[in-house]
Amino acid sequence: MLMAIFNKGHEGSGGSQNAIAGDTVIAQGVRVEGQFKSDGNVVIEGEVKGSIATSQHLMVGGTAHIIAEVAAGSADISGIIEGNIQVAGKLELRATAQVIGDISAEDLMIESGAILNGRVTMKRGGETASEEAAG
Amino acid sequence: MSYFYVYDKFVQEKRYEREIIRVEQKLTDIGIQGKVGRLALFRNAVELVRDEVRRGATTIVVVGNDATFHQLMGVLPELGIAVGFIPVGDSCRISQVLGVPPGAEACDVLSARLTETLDVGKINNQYFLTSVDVFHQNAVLDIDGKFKISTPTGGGIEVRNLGSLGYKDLKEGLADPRDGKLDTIIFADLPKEGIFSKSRTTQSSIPLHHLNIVGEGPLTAIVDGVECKFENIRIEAVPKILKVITGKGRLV
Repeated sequence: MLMAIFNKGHEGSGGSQNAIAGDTVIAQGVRVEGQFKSDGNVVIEGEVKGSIATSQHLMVGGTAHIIAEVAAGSADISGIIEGNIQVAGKLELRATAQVIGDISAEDLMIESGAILNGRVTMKRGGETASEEAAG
Repeated sequence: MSYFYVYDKFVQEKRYEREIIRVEQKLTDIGIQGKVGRLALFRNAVELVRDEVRRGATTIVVVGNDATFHQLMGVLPELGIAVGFIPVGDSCRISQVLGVPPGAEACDVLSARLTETLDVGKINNQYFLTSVDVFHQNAVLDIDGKFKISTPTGGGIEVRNLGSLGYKDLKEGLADPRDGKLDTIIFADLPKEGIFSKSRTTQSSIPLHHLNIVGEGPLTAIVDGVECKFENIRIEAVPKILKVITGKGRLV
């Protein structure tokens, strides 16, 4: 109704164009503050301060700026995250990603150009590699 | 099965006379005619319907348009009975979404009695079926104090249950009215990036069970197409409460 009245062009920018019905999309120009929790996929192109948690997939687009603790089932990062990231499955840092914080994931892919300043812990089935070796 | 037909005031005008006669004839032919109540300036629509349900009506049929439906939303979700629609005149987008054709053809849909139990929304103490649109530029969404959502450069908010029905393409603004959630759409106006660049508005989407909307002063909201003013706003989804008779051509 609002868009029909104002008759403006509008967009869910970048990564949100890949979102499906039922996903949460925080587009550019929107700010979230506090403990944000979702039980579905999350796409972020805006600003988040506090914490983000989802058991599903998290996509952080190129225009996103997150100052938060992040927990997700899997994640694909192209923007800026200042905070620790815990991912149960696969974490992908794209060429434009900037992460200042520690990361923990089962599977990690970092593209050339991505910036990561923090510790990396890789876990397979809940154990780190050193715990596995100690067996 | 006892039907009660609620006629809006405008359908009693001369220009709709032939259509109403066709409708009434069809209802009689099919065998689903019933008692008729006519809305008037000093007649309380909600009390009219409540009284008839107390007297044994098992199906309420709204004869009118979207504004007629809105008048009765104050009571329809509480009744626990089926609600039908015979769309007459302009502004009948709810019936389009529910797959109910206009005029006498709607009687076949009533007779087929395909029902769906839908969620409704509640804004403060008021039920709504389609959506709530808030224009306030500096409004903030507060989700139980856990997190807040704002648009620092301005924008607007649509909270959709059945959907926001003002779009040229009706399907563009629809939501799922059976998922127990409200599709909260947040529009954010982005600043221009240069002298020759165009303004842009982005669209965020968050499914929520409930939310508060807080502004710097009184808030103006469009509730089911009707403008209302509120000091503060709390909106929540009320799952699976409104039983409606729909047609096969429904869009949701």
